[in-house]
Amino acid sequence: MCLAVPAEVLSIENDIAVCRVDRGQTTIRASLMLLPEPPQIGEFLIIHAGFALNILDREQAEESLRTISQDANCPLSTGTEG
Amino acid sequence: MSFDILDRFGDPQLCRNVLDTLARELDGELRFMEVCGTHTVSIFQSGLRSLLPEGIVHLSGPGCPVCVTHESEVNAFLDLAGKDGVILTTFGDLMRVPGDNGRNLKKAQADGARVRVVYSPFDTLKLARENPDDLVVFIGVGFETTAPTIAGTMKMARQEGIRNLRILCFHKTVPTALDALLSDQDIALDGFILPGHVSAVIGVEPYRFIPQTFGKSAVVAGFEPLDILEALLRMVEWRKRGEARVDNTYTRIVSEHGNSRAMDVMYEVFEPCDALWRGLGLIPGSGLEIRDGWVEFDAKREFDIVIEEGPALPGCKCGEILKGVKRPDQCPLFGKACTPANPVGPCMVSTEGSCAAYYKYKVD
Amino acid sequence: MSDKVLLDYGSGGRASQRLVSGLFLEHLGNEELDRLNDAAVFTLSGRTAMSTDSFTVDPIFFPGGDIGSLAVHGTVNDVAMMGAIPRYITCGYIIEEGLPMDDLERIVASMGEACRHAGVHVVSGDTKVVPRGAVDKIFINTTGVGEVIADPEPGGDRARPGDAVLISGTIGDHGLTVLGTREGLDFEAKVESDSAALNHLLVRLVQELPDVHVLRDPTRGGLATTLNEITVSSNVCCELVEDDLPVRPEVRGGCSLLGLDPLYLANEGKFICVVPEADAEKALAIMRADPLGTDARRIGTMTDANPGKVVLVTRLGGKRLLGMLEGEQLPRIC
Repeated sequence: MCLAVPAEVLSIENDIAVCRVDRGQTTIRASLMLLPEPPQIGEFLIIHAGFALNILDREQAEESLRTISQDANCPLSTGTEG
Repeated sequence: MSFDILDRFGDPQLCRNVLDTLARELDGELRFMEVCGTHTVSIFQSGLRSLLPEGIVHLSGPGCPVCVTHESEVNAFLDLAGKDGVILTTFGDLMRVPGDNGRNLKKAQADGARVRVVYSPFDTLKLARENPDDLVVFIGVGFETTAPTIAGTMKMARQEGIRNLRILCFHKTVPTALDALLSDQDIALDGFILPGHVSAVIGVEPYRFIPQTFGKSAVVAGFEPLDILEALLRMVEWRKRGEARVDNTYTRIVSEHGNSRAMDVMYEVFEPCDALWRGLGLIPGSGLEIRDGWVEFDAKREFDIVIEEGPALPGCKCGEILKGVKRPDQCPLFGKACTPANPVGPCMVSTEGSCAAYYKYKVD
Repeated sequence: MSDKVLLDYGSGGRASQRLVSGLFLEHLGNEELDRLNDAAVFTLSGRTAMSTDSFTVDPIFFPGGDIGSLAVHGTVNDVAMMGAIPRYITCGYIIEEGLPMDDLERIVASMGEACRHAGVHVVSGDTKVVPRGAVDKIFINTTGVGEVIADPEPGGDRARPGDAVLISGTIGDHGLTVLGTREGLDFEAKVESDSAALNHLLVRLVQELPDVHVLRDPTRGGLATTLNEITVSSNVCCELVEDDLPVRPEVRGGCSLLGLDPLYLANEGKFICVVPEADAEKALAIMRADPLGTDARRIGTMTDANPGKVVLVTRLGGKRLLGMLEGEQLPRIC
């Protein structure tokens, strides 16, 4: 259940963020009223039914990938951007 | 942060390596249940299900809010559709859910009922503003992920002085249902993959009882293939060590205590109540109802709606499937009397229902 | 003329005549149509392909097209999928009273433009105006005929194990565009409908490659549903490779947001082409040489593994079944 997608904050106005979904130019407006603190432009939000539920934690994402790579005994492949 | 980092959670090479590790480490059958329809779909859609080692048995639990919406709740909103002066708004998910006598919202719409599919409950505010002489009733289904968005919408409506919005509140909460499920004698499983986006709101703490009381493991996981594989790997490792634990592998989204602001908004408007789950029956304290202070939004009170247990659907094994006792294809109705075009039970209704996913994605 | 379409314009009287001569003939006129006889008379030689389709798209104007051009493209493409050169079409308009005259003119002008582009003549037409609420703004039916030049003509039952499965470009553009312009969905996607007449490209294809097995446009129901029709008719299995499916990031993003699958979204300017393995590269070269086929790709192969089924090999190397679309795809949150 609970489809929620990551999206990048492009702009913020009146507690509403315009966010980019995926690499293309599809944008969605998301209410920020459920976030404990406002996001920065360029940060990633997780959006469900038009509301941002949380800010994505980049360091944790990288940490998870490191853990998984170790578990798999597989050196982390490098993406096009760190 | 970039989309590249997120994409790496689906990296095929890394997935193959984790799958190899998983196959190597597996020391006997591991029965796991995911309690989130998005996990169900992700496991099938990515093709992961066809790649998991044979000993890993995948069960889909009661994690699709559409599927667990009780038949009397479905009949309640179908009764509202077509009432004079009512515009019913809903997430698209509910449009084909069958009620009694083959009714559903699609058919109600064809009969002239004003039913609008919205992406966000926020959109209902606009509808309410544009139709001041009608009552706009939003069907509130969903777990702790969705309930705060409805609560937030109600707060906005109050702020704006919108008086013609009602919420038909059928929200349910996940940890209470897991507790009930685990208390059931029938259930045979090693661990849960916990719903990532419910946990984004409630955190990890509410699941601590799972190992403490029931001795089972549980992992909060994201929805990419590597998220799911990593969760499985943890469960295998703990079992080998004879441990039962709760852990969080979705740390990029989920923190120990969740999102306090979303919880505050949710509990400002809603309070726990007993709830009927389709296939599972009454689970004390597993629902959310509108607090007295927000009664002006309550469609249940406005229309005197009472939700009661009715007779079970004959032949339908959804109850056992939701508990992980039976696989979808072990139900006598599966693929015959019960198909996505003509669903009998809840698990076949939603795209995320375990039977629907099984029917739709599984290559024979 | 009034600034709104009135019931009078469908009465058959003078008001109707004014609408026909002042608007329809203005944009669609040609030698056959201008004679305004009860029926068109023309000469077609040899085997003939004929197809009809009704267009009820909502909204009637969308990025990349409108109901007028779509009504031409849809029918022209259906005729051309049979290896035929579309020549003539008819159009029937059913208009809701009160439709702004400007909107109607835009639609008819766009239809005229699409006909010129596709090289077809409208030879017969009809206009009805119905009371408010009897239709939603405007519905158009078109019927097209054309000369079949392929021998044998491509058909859904001609796919064979070993055939290559090609697609002429990105999928889901039209479906997501139309969804995105509907009310109540608060997202914006920089996508346009791919609505286009494919006949010139298709004619080249069947002229240069005499053994094209199947040509189909994956309109409603999308790529997955159309491929299912083909695999059932031909009793073969279609194995698609997920990584090879061309989907614009905008469409992918919009789909993830709304819980939709681009494989089931409508396309209006794409075609599936099934050819013997040996012809695959040449077919792709012909497609890519045309502006409407620059993104053409091979997406899979017909096999005899699971007859009547479409199987997707995922990025991870797993497999999943792609069934037929059950009903209209609805945005979902869970």
